[in-house]
Amino acid sequence: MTALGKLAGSVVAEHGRVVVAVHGEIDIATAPQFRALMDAALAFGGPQVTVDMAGVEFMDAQALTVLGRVAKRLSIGGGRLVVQAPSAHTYRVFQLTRLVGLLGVEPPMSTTALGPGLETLAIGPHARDLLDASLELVVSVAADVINGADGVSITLPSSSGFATVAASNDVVLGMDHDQYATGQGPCLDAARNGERYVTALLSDEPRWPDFVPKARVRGIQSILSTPLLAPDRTLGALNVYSSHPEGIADPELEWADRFAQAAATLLQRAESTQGEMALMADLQGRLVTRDVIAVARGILMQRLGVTQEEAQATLIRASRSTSLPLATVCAEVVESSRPPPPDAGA
Amino acid sequence: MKVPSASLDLARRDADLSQLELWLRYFGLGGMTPALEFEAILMGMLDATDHDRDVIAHALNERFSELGRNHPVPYSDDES
Repeated sequence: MTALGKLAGSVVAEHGRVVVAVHGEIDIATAPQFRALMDAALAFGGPQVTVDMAGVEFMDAQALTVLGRVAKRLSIGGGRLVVQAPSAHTYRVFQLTRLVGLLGVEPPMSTTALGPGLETLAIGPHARDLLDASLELVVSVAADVINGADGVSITLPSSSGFATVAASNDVVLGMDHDQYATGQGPCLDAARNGERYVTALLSDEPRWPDFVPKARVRGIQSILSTPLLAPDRTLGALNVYSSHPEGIADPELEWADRFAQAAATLLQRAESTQGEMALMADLQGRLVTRDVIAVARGILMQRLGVTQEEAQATLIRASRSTSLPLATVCAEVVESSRPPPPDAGA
Repeated sequence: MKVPSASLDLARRDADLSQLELWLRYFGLGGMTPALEFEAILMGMLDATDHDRDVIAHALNERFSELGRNHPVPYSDDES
């Protein structure tokens, strides 16, 4: 076992199984050590590498990048990566970026110990931030894992056409904006048509005549745009830009698709959370008016000696004849029956 | 005047409300029918009482008011 600052680890190979045990924190400071540890594991030649994360107290995007590269190298050689025993916190990081399947992450021993998920906790204005942060993570990991990629971005439809919601650097952000400005380019076509667009060499590209010269000025030579697909529609596109001719070819195309799938899942989850939140807010408001109406009904029942239904019908008639909403009519009934202050008339 | 369920559901579509959205409004106005039975009423599979229909009609008419339109859905005591 080697101790390297906040990170310690060991590699054990027996019976064709390579097991890496990691302890401590994986962040920007310790990522080089983590990478060296994983390289040592890869040196055994696979086919399977198991990472025991039980001792990892913290990890950030750096760890995802290293694991992403390892998963890819193993999968190209017909092997696979298994990530075992992550802590609840660590598992959340994998889950939030939707990289659980891609990186072979097994759930923690006790899923019940997870408590409410971050997604559930992040209700309200933070939900949007969380989605943005997760998409940023996906593009930064994708940019590191996809060979030949100089940058990765995600394009979504917006009120004004299309917009970039995550970009791994400014060059790719500029590339996206050139396409929005000229109204043409692979990211727009992929987001509109739900198909993958690959350009091996921009200088030979006859499509998008207004956009291509701008891309070449930025030093980009090849582009891949792959759609973000929901079961029934296209959500947007994931774009990979390379400064090398034929920079993005198989098997990188397939990896780009996997990252696109992760991003699409994130977006769909966020959409349904937003829908649920809007419904809850609506229900909350309607419960308040329902309460006021129930009180007003009770007042009329007592005042007029009528049934609940008759009281409700009376209130609806009042609402119709005054053209005031039923809730307003009821609020006035409740207000009118408020007892006078104790010292009134004193 | 008896309002057929089908015309309530037509009005709902005209008001651009989902069945759930209309149920939430109906519920907010003190309606007692659970959401599932409410949908069955709109689909004409269950009969509603006149009173219940009036609450549904009122929920729809309040929606039409919000949209700046008049009250097109009749109540049970309207002249037919």
